[in-house]
Amino acid sequence: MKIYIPELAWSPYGLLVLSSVAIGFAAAVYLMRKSGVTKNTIRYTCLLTAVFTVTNSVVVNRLMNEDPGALGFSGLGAVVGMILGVLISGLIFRDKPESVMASFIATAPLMYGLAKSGCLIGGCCHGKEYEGPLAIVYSGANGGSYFPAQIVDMAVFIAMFAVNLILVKKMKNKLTAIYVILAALTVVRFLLEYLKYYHDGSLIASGQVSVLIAGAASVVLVTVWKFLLGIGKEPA
Amino acid sequence: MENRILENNPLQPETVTNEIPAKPQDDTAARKSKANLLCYISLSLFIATILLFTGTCLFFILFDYDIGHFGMKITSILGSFSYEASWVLVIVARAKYRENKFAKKLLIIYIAITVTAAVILIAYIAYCLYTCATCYMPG
Repeated sequence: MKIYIPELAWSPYGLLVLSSVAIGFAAAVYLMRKSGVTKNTIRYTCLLTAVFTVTNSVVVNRLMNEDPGALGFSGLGAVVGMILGVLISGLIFRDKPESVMASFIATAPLMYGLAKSGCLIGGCCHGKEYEGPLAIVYSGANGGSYFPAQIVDMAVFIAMFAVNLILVKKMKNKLTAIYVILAALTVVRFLLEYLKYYHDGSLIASGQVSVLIAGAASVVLVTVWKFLLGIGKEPA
Repeated sequence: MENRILENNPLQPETVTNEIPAKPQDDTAARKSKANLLCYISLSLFIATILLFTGTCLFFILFDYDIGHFGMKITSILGSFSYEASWVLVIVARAKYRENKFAKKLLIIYIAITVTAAVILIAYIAYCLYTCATCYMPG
């Protein structure tokens, strides 16, 4: 069985990506409310994080894209932007910052997984050429039959979101949960790159180097933030 | 009771009545001045973002690929920094000086401008896609 994606006159890619971000933010708000974060902190954190997520996503895409007229979103840029936004908000409000950070990090795979529906319909980030079951078939100029890499991405990241919810709820030390989720996200995203059409078959391709850099940058940012806020230290 | 204390107090009543309300007024003025400073820096950065965005468009329209693409990258990086910094400063002003009306108005203006810009951009892209889809080329 093959999945046929029709060529659309108007691509819903941007709408689906932004809707995914909105759904992810709604899930993060729910988790923050459950953790007892005040409404004021939630409101301004969401505002600042949304600005950072969308701006960094667009600018990183702009920097990586060779076509000067193209406009799109970068998933890696969005994740780093989201962490930066939550981090700065934590420094401003200092209201249960580790719970706020854990809520956003836990919902990041949900946003990413749902946003892959935009890639599936838009035809970007597709897999290598493949003719077997569940192959994705595109028509038009970039037509062909490909491995369903976007569907695998969606399934894996939404499953990760479910696991993250349990981790954040069960683990008392939210900071450890944050590090575990960040490490898992980096490893999973690194492995999924092997399925993409642009992977050149080498052990570590350029896309995977970007994933490792983004993962390392996120861990460094969270660690610096932890020291700035004095999280984990005994009160004097 | 209060009058009796003031009568028995060796301090001059004028001194007491002048000093007590003066301190909160100073505090209020200092807080207002600090909040306004944050808001003015934020507003300057927001205006700089608009100028840098205009610069990005000009690089795209006026220059060839090499110079234009390089210029677009530089203005995009600087523009994103100034845009994000303007939001951070206005939110700091709102969080630390909740009574400040300028910070509140500025935040509403930022939200309105950002939403309007997003709607215009989406409408423009939709218009371009519609034009391409319905384009008829005779012959």
